[in-house]
This record gives sequence, C-alpha cells and structure tokens, in this order.
Amino acid sequence: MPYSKTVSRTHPTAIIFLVDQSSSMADNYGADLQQTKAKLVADTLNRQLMELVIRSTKGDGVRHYFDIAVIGYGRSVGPVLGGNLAGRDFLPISDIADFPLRVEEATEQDANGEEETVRYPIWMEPVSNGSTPMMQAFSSAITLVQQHIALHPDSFPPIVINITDGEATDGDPRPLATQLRDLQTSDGNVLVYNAHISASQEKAVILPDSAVGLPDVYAEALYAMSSALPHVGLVRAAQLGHTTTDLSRGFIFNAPSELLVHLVDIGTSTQVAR
Amino acid sequence: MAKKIFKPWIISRFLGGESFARRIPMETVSHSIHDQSLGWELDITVRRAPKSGATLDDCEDATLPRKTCVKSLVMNEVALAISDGATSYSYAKEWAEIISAQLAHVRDASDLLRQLPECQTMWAGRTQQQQTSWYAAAKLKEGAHATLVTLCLTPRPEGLFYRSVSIGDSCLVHLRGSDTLHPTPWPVSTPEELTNFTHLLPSRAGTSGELVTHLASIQGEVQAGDEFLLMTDALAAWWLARLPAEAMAELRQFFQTNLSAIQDGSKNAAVVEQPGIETSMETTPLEPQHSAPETAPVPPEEISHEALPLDSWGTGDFDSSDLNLQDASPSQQQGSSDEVTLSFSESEGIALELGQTDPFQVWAEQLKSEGELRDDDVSFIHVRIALAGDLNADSR
Repeated sequence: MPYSKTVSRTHPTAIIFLVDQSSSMADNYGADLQQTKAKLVADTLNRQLMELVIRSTKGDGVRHYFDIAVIGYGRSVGPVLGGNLAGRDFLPISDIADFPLRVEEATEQDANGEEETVRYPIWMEPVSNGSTPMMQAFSSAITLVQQHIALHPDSFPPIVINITDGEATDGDPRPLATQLRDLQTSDGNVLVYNAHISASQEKAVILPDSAVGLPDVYAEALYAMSSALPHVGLVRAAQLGHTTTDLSRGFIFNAPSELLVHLVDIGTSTQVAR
Repeated sequence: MAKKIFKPWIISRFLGGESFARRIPMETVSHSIHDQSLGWELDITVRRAPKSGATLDDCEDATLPRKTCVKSLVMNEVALAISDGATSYSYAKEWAEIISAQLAHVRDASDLLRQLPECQTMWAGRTQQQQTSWYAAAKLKEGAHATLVTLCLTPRPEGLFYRSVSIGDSCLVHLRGSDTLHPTPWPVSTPEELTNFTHLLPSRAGTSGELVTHLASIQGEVQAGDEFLLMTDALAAWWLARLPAEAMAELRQFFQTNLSAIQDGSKNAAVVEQPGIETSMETTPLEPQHSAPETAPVPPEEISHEALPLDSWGTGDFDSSDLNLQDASPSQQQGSSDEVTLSFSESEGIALELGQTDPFQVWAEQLKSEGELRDDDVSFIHVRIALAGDLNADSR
C-alpha cells in the first residue's frame, strides 16, 4: 500500500515549501486585514517548522526524520532561511532545530491553568518584492526531489507545498507540477499541495474532490496541480474537522488564514511510528 | 568475562549467608522435585526486536521480566507486564520501563490509578535534568505515553489464578492446549482495533482525566500446561491475521526450550539473556556437588505481596550481576575460576557466536521486508505454566 512507509532515521522524507514572495504579498490579508499575506505565510511556516522539529525530537536530540527546504520566489528564486541556514537548500531537521534566527518567549497557561514560559523560534521573516516566477520554483523543486529520491528511494515520498497569492508570471506551471508528481519512491508518488491565499471575499474552496464549482481557470489550474491526499492526510484532515472523500486533493483556494495552517499541517502528515 | 548464572537457592545454601540470600529474588528459585505442594514453575521467554534499522537500545517496548528466565511460584505472586512506549514522545522507553516494573502487580483499574502518580513522579525524576534546548523542553512538556498489559499469577489453596489489567493495544492471549481461551486476544480482538490511535498511560499528571474508562481488567483460573502470550501491537496484528495454532507454531521456535536439553543434562543452571547480545545465552554449570539436588531444596520463604518491596517478591528480574562475587566465600571464588562457559542458542542448544544476530530479530526483519509485519518494535513474553518440577522433565 502506498504512503505507508514510516518516517525514520533510516528512511527520512523531504518537505519542500515553495513560498511566493512577490510584491503583492505585502497586501493585507483576510476579513480583518490586520496583517500582510507575507506575515501570515512567515508565521505559518515558523509554526510548522517548530512542529516538525518537536515531532522529530527524542530526549535531548533531534532525529533525522526530515530534510527541509524553504524556497522563495519573487525577486529571485532560492532558499530563504537566514542566519546559519542561509544559502542552503536541503536542511536536516536537526539544523533547523539548532539554528533559528531567534527564539521569542511568551507566557501562557498550561493545561492545569498555571502560567508557563513558552519559547517560539523564528526562522523566517516576511518578504515581498518582485514578480511571481512559480515555474522556476517548481523547477527547483524537481531538482531537489530528484536528489532526495536518489538518496532515499524507499522513503515516504517527498512532499511539496506551494503557497501563493497569484498567477505565475513566468508561464504555466502545470506541466512542471505534473512532472513533479510523476516522480516517485517505492512508497508512492511525490505529493504536491497548493494553497492560494487572497484578500478577496470569494467563497473558499477547501480540499475539493473535483474541479466542479471552482470560480475560475486559475483555481482549476491549482486544483489540477495538486495531489489527492493519501490516507494519512485524510486522517489528519478528519482530525482537524474537515469533511473529505477519497478523491480530495491537497488544495485550498481563497481560504481564511487558519485553513492555510490546516493545509500545511495536513500536507506534512506522514506515517510515523506510534 | 562470562556472565554467571546460578541457582539462587543453591548459592544461598552454599554460602550460608543471610545477607547474600536476601539479595536474590526468591521467585527465581527453580527445583525439580515432583511435589505439588511446592507450587508451580513458570517457563518465561522474553523476546524483543527493534524497528528496522534501529538497535535494541532504541526499542521502546519494555517487559517484566526483562529477560528469559524460570520463576517459581509457591506462596508468592509473580507479576509480568509488557509495555509499548509511544515513539512519538521523548523518554517513552523510560516510561514503559517504569510502568511495567511498578504496575505489573496491580489488582485492578482502580489500583492502577492509585499507583500511577508515584510512577509519574518517578518519570519526572528521571527526566528532570535541565532541558537546555527549546525543542527538548517543548517535547518534554508533552510527556510520554505507553500501553500496558499486566499478568499477575497468584497461587491459592484451590488452584492457580491470574488477573490482568490493560490499557492500549498490547495484548494478552491465554492458551490451553490447542485452544485459545476467551477472551483472546485481549483487549484487542480484531485487526481494525489496531490503529495508530489508542489510549495510553500518560507520564504527566493532569492528563489522566478519563483514563479509567480506557482501562480493562480480567481474571481467571490457570491449569498446568496453560500458556500465556503478552505481545505489543505489531505482533498482535500479525497474530490476528492467522489462526492461533499457526501463529503459535511459528512463534514456538523462539520459546525457551527444555532447559535440561540446552544445558546438556545439567538441570542446575538458570538461563538468562546477556545484555547487549540478547540472543545468546550463557550457562555456567555449577560445581558437581551443587548440580544435582539430591536433597530437597530449601523451599522459598512464604512471601506476601504486601510485605516486601517490589523487587523482592516477583517483579524483580534475577540477573547474575546481582550476585557480587567479591562477597563470595573462598570456595565460591575457587568454583568460579574453574567454570566452563558455554554459549547456546535458545531454541536448539546450538552454539551461538557472540555478536550473532538474534533469530527472533532476523525473523521479524524478514517479515517486515515481506510486508507481513508492521515496521515497529516487536516484543512478546511467553509464559508456560507447569507444576513445580515438571518443567525440566517435559519434552517440548
């Protein structure tokens, strides 16, 4: 059965985030318009990187369960994490753990109602300038995925999550997305998910199982570029309260901010040892 | 230096030292006298295999006892347990070790809940070292979680009885001859129940709110010849995909075999696994004058459950390293210097080289590669019940 390989140190998988950093990402987002789209994306990725690090932590160490790449596309295309991680495409999750830009602290209440200090690492700052070279970003993802599959041919297949607010400015990325999804490990084809974030008030589309009813050609294109959720993703989606079918795809359109968080969460679900 | 294996009651008599004798868990006494009043003997096999690519040190299943052994049961109870630490948490192995050791003897769900806080305190004590990194601290806040299945055997004048308490998807099977007794396996009886989501014992206080609703207890009578199998979920899933007789026949190759056959006629050496080379067993034949119990062995003391600390009445695991040879008498030291150390496979008495791979681990790895067994830690405890003295006489 595909997508059943347990992620382990012997069989790590890759997660590649493609992040739109075009100038339009400086626009405010959502109904409350309290933050920019770039800030929303940075917050979402910081939160998800923290989650992946904690998922990989055992005792005092971080196990090599994931190789992470965060590729931005805007004025240029390439890895966007800074500090000690700058300029590197694939990063073992242990390096992500050890080299955030900074760690912020906040006081929260724990399950027993007692105050505790919680630390939040920050890896990524909001960036917005340039155009939307999405094709170049997918080309970079293909190269990285091929490298990873060559090293880990029997791992849970690599996962690519593309977050954008607009159309590609360098051509139609659909053929590249198809090329990406055709790559595979012995455990299944590469998983490609797409999240469209927008300030528009159009009806949100969440994990659809067909293109029927999608508002425009652009939405249909992103739907066509997206993989069907594997069982582990469907399970996670159900846990987060979403209704899905076996054909539901990893795609959201015009979704509110919390659903971007959900898609990234669902998208990074892997088979893990209990 | 070979590990030294002794018949505790023989050693304690030989040394004549009260303090020395007290250090030996009395339930490890093994004797060959056909006298039903002497109670029962338990032939216990413990096997563990780690996830693919991992080492046995990484295995987060814990068992009580930790090693293959023979235990005797007279007036005491013998408690066993298996626990599957959830890999997705930190210090899950430590938690599984604590609860399997501390909760194996609990009487029922309420008793377990009463004793759980003490276990949680122990876990906190073992993990309270300063967590310097943000991620270690964040992970520790999640606590650890583990399954648990206990098996406590209690002799009474009217017979031998068992009780078991369970949470999660580790299983207990009770076999009598070719029959599996109801309920079997317990508490999980269908493959659909073996998912990645199960209720577990938490290591952190304050997260056990509805725990009582997920705890289950059973009890029943035991007869000579009965067998129990305690196993973690990966092996339980494998078991459920087969007829019990077929599964048992395949597992039987890994059970502790007739000790007398393994020891080439010597019935006076207990058998344990060697740490780090869990597959190989070493035996140290005792001096001839100690090898044949011509006279009746010293019967174990009557031990009550409540009267003694845990390690003294049946949950402690006899290990020859507990025997401090520096304290032994000159004659004992003389004996040890002359000992001949043999190494045997557990199943067939064939010499096993140090470092050789455990046949059970090889078997598990093969099944994982064929998709027959989930890639997880795979562990079981097999217990065979016999009247005292019958164990070594049986041909299995």
